[in-house]
Amino acid sequence: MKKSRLFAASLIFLLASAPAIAQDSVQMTVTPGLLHIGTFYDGTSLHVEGTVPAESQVVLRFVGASCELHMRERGKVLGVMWMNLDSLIFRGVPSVCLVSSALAFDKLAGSGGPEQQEDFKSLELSGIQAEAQVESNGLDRRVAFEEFLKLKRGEGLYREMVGNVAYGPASNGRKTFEADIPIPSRLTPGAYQVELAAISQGKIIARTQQPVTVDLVGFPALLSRLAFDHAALYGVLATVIAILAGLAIGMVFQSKGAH
Amino acid sequence: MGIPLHLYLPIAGNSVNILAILGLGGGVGLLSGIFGVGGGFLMTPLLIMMGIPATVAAASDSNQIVGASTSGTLAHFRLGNVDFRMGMLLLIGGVVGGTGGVQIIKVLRQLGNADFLINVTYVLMLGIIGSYMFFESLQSMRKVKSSGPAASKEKESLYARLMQSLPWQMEFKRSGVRLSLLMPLILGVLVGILAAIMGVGGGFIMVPVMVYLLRMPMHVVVGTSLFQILFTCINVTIMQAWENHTVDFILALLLLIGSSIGAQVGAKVGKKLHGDQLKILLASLVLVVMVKMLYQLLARPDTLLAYVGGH
Repeated sequence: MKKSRLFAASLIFLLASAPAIAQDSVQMTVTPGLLHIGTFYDGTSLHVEGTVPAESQVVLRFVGASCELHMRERGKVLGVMWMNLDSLIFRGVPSVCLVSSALAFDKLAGSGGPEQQEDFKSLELSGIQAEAQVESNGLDRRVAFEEFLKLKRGEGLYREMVGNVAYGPASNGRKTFEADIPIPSRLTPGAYQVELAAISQGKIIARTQQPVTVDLVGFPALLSRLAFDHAALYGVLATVIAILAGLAIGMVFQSKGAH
Repeated sequence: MGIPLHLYLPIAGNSVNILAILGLGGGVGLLSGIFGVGGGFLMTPLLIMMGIPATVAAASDSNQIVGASTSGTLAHFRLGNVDFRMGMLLLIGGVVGGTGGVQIIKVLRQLGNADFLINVTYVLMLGIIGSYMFFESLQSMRKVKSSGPAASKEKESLYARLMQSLPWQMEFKRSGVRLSLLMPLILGVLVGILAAIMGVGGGFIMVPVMVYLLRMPMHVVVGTSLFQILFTCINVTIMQAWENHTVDFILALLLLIGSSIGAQVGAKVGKKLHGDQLKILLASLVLVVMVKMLYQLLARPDTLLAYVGGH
């Protein structure tokens, strides 16, 4: 009886400490941790480096906050014309999801069983479907999600990049890695995460993550505050400046025409 | 260090190439100056193609049209091409019609399939107006070549007699016409309703209305149309900024620098062209847009999803 109690206690301890061990076995540094969007921002890149177990492969994900998107399904009316039809809602989808790895996902599978592969395949873009909720009256849930991925890929906000993770030589059962994740210009301020998953034999053996904050600075920040906090004033100012600019250009042309 | 070519747009949430936006503004402004149309029906889809969200593209375009039409109106005013009296009457009618049109579209949306009606109205209006203008101008150009100006006054139409029989006749000196003040008011209301339903400024409907129904000379039509569009877009810009936060002023400013210059050049180019040449060019432009819209309706879209608020 005493033995079995001791065994149970040891098992609980091991299970409870497993994630901590997994997190400790990988280390990651993301620079910069704060991204500034200024007047001339046109996308940037995040440098990620760290160490992982030597036998593992790294999958990195730059992920935006989970959001709710309201969309319209496009379908045929009268069998001829394509129109916006029923509304559908996607819940629990990240605003951005950029996946980076050294090898393509089918090569990361290794000799892992189907369950293990399910595990690491959740890191792919198609894995978002498991977390997402799709509210649709017409379009099939699976088709709707495929179309959603197509739309997001087209916008450059969902992307799978192969080959932008590089490894250093292995020593003492560990190896270094580094990657540059290209961040798109179509980015809104908010909280983002860089997630690291170490994969061995198709199974996720360790995970860690680091926050990245995206902030508006300078003129874009000023303009954004004005547009959202003083909307009526912003509208009037936008109109008055447009009229003055139109008049100024008109004057310039008049003076040119006079000579 | 090179000159930065990109600017971040905080409301659109994207960065754009400055030269591309200036060029786009310049090209559409040129057409605006030549034909007196706001250009919204060209600019908004092109901005969406450049990655600007549809609602921000439409609202910021209205903001830039304020600047472009100020510049264009000024240029046409100097050339004596703005009929303020006619413009004000059309504007009053347009505001009344626009307000009614917004209510109509609300009811249609509740009934469902409003988008279908909007798109079909768009294609039909563009098709009818474009074809009519094209063939009428072609006929007119042939007549001038073959028999000179004498042949044009063949018959006093029923429409002309009806116009003369209406009360409150007044002289529109700049346009060189005499008609009832009810005409521009009623036509303004009709165009306002259509423009609200279709979600556009209405320039490309207003121009043919002025030419064919108000019988105004083409050059005065262009200046007067720009004058009227200026006020319509001031209203739209303030309302969109206030209610929806969709006006990106930086985008609008870039577009309007390009389009104001384009509008000035356009006004000068338009002055060199004959009225029928202007009409046939505008008709061709309207027909090209109609064909593009028809293609979009018939061809399978890239994705079967669209954001709410998109076109």
